[in-house]
Amino acid sequence: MNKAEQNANAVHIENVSKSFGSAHAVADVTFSVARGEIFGLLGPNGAGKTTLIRIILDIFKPDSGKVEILGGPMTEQKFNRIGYMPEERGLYQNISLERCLVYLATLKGMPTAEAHRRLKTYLERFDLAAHKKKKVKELSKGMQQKAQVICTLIHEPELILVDEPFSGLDPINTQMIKDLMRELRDRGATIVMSTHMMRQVEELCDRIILVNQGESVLYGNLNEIRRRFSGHAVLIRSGGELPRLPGVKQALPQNNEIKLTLEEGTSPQEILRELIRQNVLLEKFEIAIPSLDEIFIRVVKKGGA
Amino acid sequence: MSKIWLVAAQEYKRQVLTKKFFLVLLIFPGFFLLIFAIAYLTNRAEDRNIPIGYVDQSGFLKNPLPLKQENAFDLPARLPVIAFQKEKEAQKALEEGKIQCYYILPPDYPENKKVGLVYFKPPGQNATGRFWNFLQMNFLRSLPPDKARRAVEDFNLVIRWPEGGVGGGREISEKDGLNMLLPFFVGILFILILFISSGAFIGALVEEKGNRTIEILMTSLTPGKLITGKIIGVIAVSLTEITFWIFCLLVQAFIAGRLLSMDLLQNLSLAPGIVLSLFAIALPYYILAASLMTLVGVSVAEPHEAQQSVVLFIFPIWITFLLIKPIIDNPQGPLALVLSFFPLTSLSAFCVRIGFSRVPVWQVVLASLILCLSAAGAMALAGRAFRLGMLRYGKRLSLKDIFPRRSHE
Repeated sequence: MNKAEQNANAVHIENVSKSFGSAHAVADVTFSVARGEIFGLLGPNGAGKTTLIRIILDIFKPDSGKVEILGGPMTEQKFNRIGYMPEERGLYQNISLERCLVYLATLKGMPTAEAHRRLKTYLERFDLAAHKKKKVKELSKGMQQKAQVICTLIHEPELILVDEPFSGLDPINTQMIKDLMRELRDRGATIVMSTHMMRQVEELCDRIILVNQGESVLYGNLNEIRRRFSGHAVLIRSGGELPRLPGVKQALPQNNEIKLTLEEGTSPQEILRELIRQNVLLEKFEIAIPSLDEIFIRVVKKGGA
Repeated sequence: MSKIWLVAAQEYKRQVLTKKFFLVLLIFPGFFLLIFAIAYLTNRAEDRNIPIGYVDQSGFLKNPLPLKQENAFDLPARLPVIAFQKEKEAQKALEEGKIQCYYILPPDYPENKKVGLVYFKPPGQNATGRFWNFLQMNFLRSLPPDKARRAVEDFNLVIRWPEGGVGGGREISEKDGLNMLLPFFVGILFILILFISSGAFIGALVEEKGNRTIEILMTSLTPGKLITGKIIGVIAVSLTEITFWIFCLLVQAFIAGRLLSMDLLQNLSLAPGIVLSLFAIALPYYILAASLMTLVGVSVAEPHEAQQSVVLFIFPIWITFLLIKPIIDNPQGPLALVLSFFPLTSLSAFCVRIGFSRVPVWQVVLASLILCLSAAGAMALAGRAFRLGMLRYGKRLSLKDIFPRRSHE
């Protein structure tokens, strides 16, 4: 890898469009994925996420726009530096797990002996060592999902693209994959994750792009986006009755808390000062930041309206 | 190892390491074995393995030459020829079942060449044949051994075409008559294997498309390398089958011909020139067929559609076999030449012609060249169709997609 490649983004997509006949799958999308980050590629079904992933991977050529992967256009050599996990499982069903994974690893440029060595470690880590001689089709859905993860990571790629990585996994394995993704990020790998599971995105992703109907509708740092959508409200939990507060438009109970929607011109700091002045026993006071789920629904509904 | 070879090895192992493959591999040798066994047993059903006797009243067999062993299983001990001094002794042995018959060479045998035969139950074919050989050998004992052997052997009708004629100086003898049919038979095997492999190959492509393995493959190597590897793999599978079958056929023919004395198979052989010619045509034909199979495999959505599409390959071959008579009648005629140079009928046409006539080398080279060019074109087309078609899950790929007005990859 040369210095320019090292400094460049792992993925850079600029004004990319792609149509299939009269259907616009992707329209003028621009985004970058920095090296060493976990990037969320979000969107409702049919939004164009998979098309974008396939454009990144050079499976589809865009009709227009520029695509740069690991510092330049895609080349055959770069295939070996990329790991891809498709949404629906991409493993041979009628051969043994070991043969399947070693074959796919060698196609990523690994020597066979090294592929066997690394596979042994991964199979043990994922509790699949006892099943390595079984045909892939004989494994449970969760096991196949773990096998697919091994297939994506065994050659230690710099750029990892995963489509719905948590689908079919129980909570223990979900946690294991999350830990693994953090570990890979800490080791310098870049991860592009396409998923519907917003909780996982909130936990893992540094930045996101939300695509809807082929267009980019939200893009940037996850915390900034949430703050941008936070609106003008605070969440309060107190030991007793809440007094009447000036500058509060609406007070709505929400689980054990109360969400106060503030009037224009009133700041959360003024409300906090007023609560302290009135000696309200506060157990919790926080600016109401919407969940990614709420943002997703709000943006997609707005886009669809 | 290059990724092409990895794909080829995987494709090869995927097809070969299955019970179905071994079953198919053994079916034909098993079939040949059955035919040879039936032929041998039918032949041997008329044999009786009890000694035969003779009484020489003429003195012709006073110091007879020993009977030669005809084949490995023809142990003289099992069918000895026993000399009796007197007819009474021979009769007694016959009544006791020690011999199945006895021959009498009367005193005037040297003049009349007539022998008498005494039996209760007609002797086996092997017995009469054996005594006939015994007499012949002793009749010619004054000649040098090689001349005697030639005289004892059956006559052999040889047909030779004139140089420059339809047969181009080809020679076929009665004894190696089957050799005329062998190239045709081997050609049929080539075509048969093509059908067997095509089903498995197209099925595998449809499966890869269906279970999304193709997406992993397409992010590991280029479509061109992927297709090349797959084609090498499928050709290697076909060559394994054909080599094994030809080997088994020749071994079985050797056993049947030389060891079991089945006359028709004694001189069975495949001339190296014919083998080379067949391979020169079959190899590019296979590449062409495999590329066309790829086109079919990526164009259809369901495995059963893929199986049905195999008819596309059968049709041109079927046409050749329909026209087999005019081709044999005039193996250098316009019809034979057109079919030989048209890529899809080339292999079947050569299979028919090569057995019945001497095909000029330039025709083999030209046909092979045409096939190579067609195969290269088909591979390029398959590469394009592959990229377009493999990601269209559940959708067919039309010719319009492969040859669009404006490129939409």
